[in-house]
Amino acid sequence: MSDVQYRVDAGRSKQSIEQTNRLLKAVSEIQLNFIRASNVHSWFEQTLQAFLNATNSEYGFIGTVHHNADGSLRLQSQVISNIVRKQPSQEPGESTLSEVLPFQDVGTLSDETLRTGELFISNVPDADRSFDDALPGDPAMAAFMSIPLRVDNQLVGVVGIVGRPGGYDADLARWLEPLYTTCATLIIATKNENARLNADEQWQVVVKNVPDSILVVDREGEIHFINHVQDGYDRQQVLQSTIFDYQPIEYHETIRDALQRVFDNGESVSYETVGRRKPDEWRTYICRVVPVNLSNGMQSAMLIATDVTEERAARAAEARQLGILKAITEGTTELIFAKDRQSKPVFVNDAIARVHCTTVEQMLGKSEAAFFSDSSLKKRIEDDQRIMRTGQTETFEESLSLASGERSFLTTKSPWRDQNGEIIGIIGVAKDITEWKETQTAIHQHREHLRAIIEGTPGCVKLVAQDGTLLQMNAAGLRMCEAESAECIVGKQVLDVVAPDYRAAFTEFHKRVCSGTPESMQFEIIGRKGTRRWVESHAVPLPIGPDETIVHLAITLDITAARAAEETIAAQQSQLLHVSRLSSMGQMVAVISHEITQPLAAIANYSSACELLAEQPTPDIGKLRAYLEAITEQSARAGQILGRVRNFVKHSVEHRIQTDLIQLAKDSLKLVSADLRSRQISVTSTFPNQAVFASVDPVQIQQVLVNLIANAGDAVGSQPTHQRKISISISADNECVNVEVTDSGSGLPPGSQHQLFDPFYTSKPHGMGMGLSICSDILRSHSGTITAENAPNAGARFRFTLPRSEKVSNE
Amino acid sequence: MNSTMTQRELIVYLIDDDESVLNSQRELLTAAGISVQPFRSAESFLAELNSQSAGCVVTDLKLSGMSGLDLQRRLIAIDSPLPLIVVSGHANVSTTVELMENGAITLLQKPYDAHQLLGAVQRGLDQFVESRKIAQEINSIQRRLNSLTDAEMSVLELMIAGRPNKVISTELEISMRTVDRRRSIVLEKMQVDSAPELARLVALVEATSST
Repeated sequence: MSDVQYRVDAGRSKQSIEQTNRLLKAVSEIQLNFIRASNVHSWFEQTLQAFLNATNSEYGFIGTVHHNADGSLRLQSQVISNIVRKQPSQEPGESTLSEVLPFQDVGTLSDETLRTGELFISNVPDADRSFDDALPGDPAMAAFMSIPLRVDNQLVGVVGIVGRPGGYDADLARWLEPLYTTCATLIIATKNENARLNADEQWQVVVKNVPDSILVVDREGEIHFINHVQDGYDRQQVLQSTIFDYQPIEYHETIRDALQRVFDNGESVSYETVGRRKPDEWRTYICRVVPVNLSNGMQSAMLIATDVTEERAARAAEARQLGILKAITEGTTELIFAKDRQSKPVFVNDAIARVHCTTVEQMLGKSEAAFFSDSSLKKRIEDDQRIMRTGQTETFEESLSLASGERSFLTTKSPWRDQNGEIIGIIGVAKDITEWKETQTAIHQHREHLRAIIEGTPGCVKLVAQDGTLLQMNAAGLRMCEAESAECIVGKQVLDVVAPDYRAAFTEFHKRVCSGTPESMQFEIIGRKGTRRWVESHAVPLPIGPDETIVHLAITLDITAARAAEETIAAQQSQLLHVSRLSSMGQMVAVISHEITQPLAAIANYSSACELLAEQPTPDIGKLRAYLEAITEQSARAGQILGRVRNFVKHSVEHRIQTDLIQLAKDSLKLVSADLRSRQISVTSTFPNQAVFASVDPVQIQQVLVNLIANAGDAVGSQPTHQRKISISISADNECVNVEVTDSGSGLPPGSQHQLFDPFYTSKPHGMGMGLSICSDILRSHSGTITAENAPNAGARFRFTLPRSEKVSNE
Repeated sequence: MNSTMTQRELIVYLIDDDESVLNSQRELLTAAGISVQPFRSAESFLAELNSQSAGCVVTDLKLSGMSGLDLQRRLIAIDSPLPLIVVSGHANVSTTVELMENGAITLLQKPYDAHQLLGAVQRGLDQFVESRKIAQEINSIQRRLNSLTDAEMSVLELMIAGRPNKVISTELEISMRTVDRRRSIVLEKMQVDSAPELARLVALVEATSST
């Protein structure tokens, strides 16, 4: 815009007469054009151009005011200047035609006027918030004015003009009054005209375009009007026929009845009928007949026939499908459903109704909102929408809060397609997996617990395959075997860890377990770092896998410490026993020696006195005799003392009870086992299956047993280790119990059998020779016997026999 | 002094709770010509014991009531001069050591040889006689010492210290003549001929009284 123009316009308060004349001429041209023109749009264009010309503005718009449903006003653009959107990078005026865009933000420009109904001028629009949302590239707004278009104080439109050099003012607006008053008046006129025209036009358009057939008929069914005629019919022919010509005879009664009710009672009636759309095509229609009064005064009826053939067919097919579905799904525990595109249930089986605690009938047609909480509903609808969109079947687990409680489902949803492959909803199957899940959780927890127990147990837990391969071992087991990790040992032969001396026995043990016998075994292992441990393995056969292959499951405990403790205790016990044996022997010896010294001392004194007397020249014979008598007397006394000792041993601890000799033998073996083990002496025992009772003093008989076993141990102690064997066996007949202790030693010295049981007879360097003598005494006091012989395969065999109790214990 | 006569005066006190042993011992010692007095317990022996008792004691170590060891302790406590011979079935080491340290003649293990007992008894009696002789001599010396005046005693002490008369005269501030005179009196009263002999007697008394 040039400076000259600006100065001329600056004195706008006094518009030139020429300008005013031009304005008035434009007004009259607009009015004339309005009367002539059928095109409202061209009229608005002409009017906008007049505004632009009169004010020398760059561009503008005219909008008409409309009422929104909520009562607010809305400006609808009727005409708007084309503007050139400038690219920021380009020089002004260099824009191409393609960049011509409709003026944006009409609303924001005219907001003020629309809101207040008053004239609005902004000559510094950049500072005005109304332009905040101008798009990048919108033309700069040097100045802006919007003028309210009013008729009878009612706002009917707004004129907005932009870019007048020098800006706008109220005087300019007032000067434009003839133009905008005309514009306002003509907008009202246009509106009224539009309303009238529209009613007719719209009705015709509706009638022409509805798919339904609309007919006007008289009482006889004669057709006076039809909106469209199907192919194969001639309109004139149709208009000379009656509706009965297009219906099968069986429907005529219905139709006649309907027409009668419409014409006589003024009712509106609906009926379903079959009609001939084309001469050879029958369709199903729903007909609604209403009475109408035509402008010519003739009483008529309007018949609207809606073709429902496809719908009926579809519904029949659907019903058939649903019927089949219902038949199939009745009684299944799976939840089977079909939903329409709005996720409204179309089909549900009784299982679904059960989980919702309702009936199938109650559910159908209701929205899912009636059955699900908001959160699950949202997700379900999202799922449905996605499946219908993608057409992909999906399976997922869902947890739903239902009337029957919190339940988990495994749900498969597929798109539901009609015959044409159109997706018309969702079909799905849901399986209630609540219990299964609970079971799974329980199993999982159980498994976790088991794992924790196995891992946490201080014992070794392992699985060994039939071929002896270690399949699995817990952490305690790895520690026991001194394996840094499971890889060092799992998959290898378990036998590698077993100490060589026990491998043969372990292999047998493993075989027995794998053949189905639970067993326990004690053996030694050698860890990967060389530590020897005593272990006790409790093994059971465990069928695993689908073919139930038996593997060896074992819990193995480190009994090294326990065994050491047991050995210590046993050693102590055995020592104690030995000590007590010795000490009682010692006491006895002390008693014997003290007692016996007295008569011996006396004898010595008397005999010395005799000697002294004998040396006398005339010995006193009387005294001599007295001394000799005294000697005899003292000798007898010494004999008595020995007899008393014998008696003491025999009758010291008489306490006889019914005693199981097998148990007694086992207890005795236990007492000496540590000692025997330490000397690498193996013991085999052969006992009857049933208890063998005898009435004995268990302490004494145990002393005999321990004595015999200990003697046997001493006898084999000097043999090579593999020949250090002792066997103990018990046999019984009706009267006697025989106990035999046989050793693998060098046997009894020839001819010693009879001396063996004499007191102080011994073959041992430090022996006292009392043991067997006492044993013999004990047995004699129990009415038993003891004998010794050499066993056929070298070694000595001691056998003692006790009378068996007649009364056999019930225990 | 006739030793046989002496043994007649002396008595062997036998103590054993076993009657047959006690009798056999009595008969043995009697046959050997030794006077005996048997007791069934240490207590009954102690009841009979007096200052006139002379001889030695043969006791069993293990007695009902007071033991042989207790008896030894008791005899030491009352300053009895009777030597002790202990007979035992078997004595442990500590008992044996104590018995011997306390001056037992011997410990005889039963059954002992009769000669061992007779030998031990003989040693005991000899020891008793010897110790009684020493005691009598000491008593005699003591009596003689008691007859000296204080002035004579002073001279005696210097004499046994080996001082010459001149030194004695100076130390006691008496004249040489007086020293000579008192010296003669001391030797006469003490029934000795020389100063060294006098010194031996005094040393004997002092040794005894100091124990």
